[in-house]
Amino acid sequence: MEVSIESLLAAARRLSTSLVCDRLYDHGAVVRAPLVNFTPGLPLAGPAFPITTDGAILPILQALDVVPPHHVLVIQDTSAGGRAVLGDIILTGARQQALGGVICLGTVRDVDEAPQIGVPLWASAASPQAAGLGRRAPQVPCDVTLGATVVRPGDWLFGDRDGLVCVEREWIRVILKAAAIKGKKERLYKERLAAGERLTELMNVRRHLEHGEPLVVEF
Amino acid sequence: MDQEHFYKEVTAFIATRANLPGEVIQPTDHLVQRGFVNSLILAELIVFVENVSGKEIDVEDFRLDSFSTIEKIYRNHVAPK
Repeated sequence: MEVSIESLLAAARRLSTSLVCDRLYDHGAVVRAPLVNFTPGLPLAGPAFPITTDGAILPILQALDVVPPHHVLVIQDTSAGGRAVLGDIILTGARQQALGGVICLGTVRDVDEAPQIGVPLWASAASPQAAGLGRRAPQVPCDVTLGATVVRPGDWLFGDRDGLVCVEREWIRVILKAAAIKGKKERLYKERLAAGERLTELMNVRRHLEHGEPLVVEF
Repeated sequence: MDQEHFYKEVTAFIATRANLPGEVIQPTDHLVQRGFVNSLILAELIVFVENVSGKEIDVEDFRLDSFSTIEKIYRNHVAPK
């Protein structure tokens, strides 16, 4: 059965990154790379459209020309140049094309405007100095590496204030279901807490500590 | 898909994922209580049933009890209404 990206996104947007992380099993990873969330109020979710650049802007434009809507543009700058490969104009273009976000293992600029532009933006650093147009990338999209995590075209990325998580594309439907079920259980728990029940009693903490009874971890 | 075919397919699916002989799993066995299914295999099973039935299962409307046995899965999610 084919499931539309809109349907997957609707499910994904109901999930926090930590819920997805809890249900990765072995089919994804927490992304540990030097990346700063420049739009902490904007959660990120979507299939990756990864590209590389050697410190040039042209590959980003090359990607923008073909990237499908709702995808997350993931840029690995392989140079050590430290110049911004994108700023407010490209980010505005990304919004106009309904991209799910931009992750740049490299430098960007105009970060003060990013929250108002409304596209989730993660990057390694900011600098006012722009990169040159440079040369085209040999291939877009392509596999990239963020820290120790390989991100392939179509792998899904989730990001919020807790961090970034990558889910293997073959497993996205399963992981979304598993995380949604956990989220539903956690909501029920929170309702009981809001109604006045005590967390340590719900979890049987005292009897676990004093008598070795099992902890109750329903979620 | 008819009931017999569904039972056979789902039993084979769970047996493979749980590394069990298929004959061990009966249509009325409680899949979680018998230890055949954990949270990952449950999620895979939901996707499997979606693929078989052609219908999306929304977790918000989802009752865990409707997936407690193979017989209930068929009755709640696959059998023609």
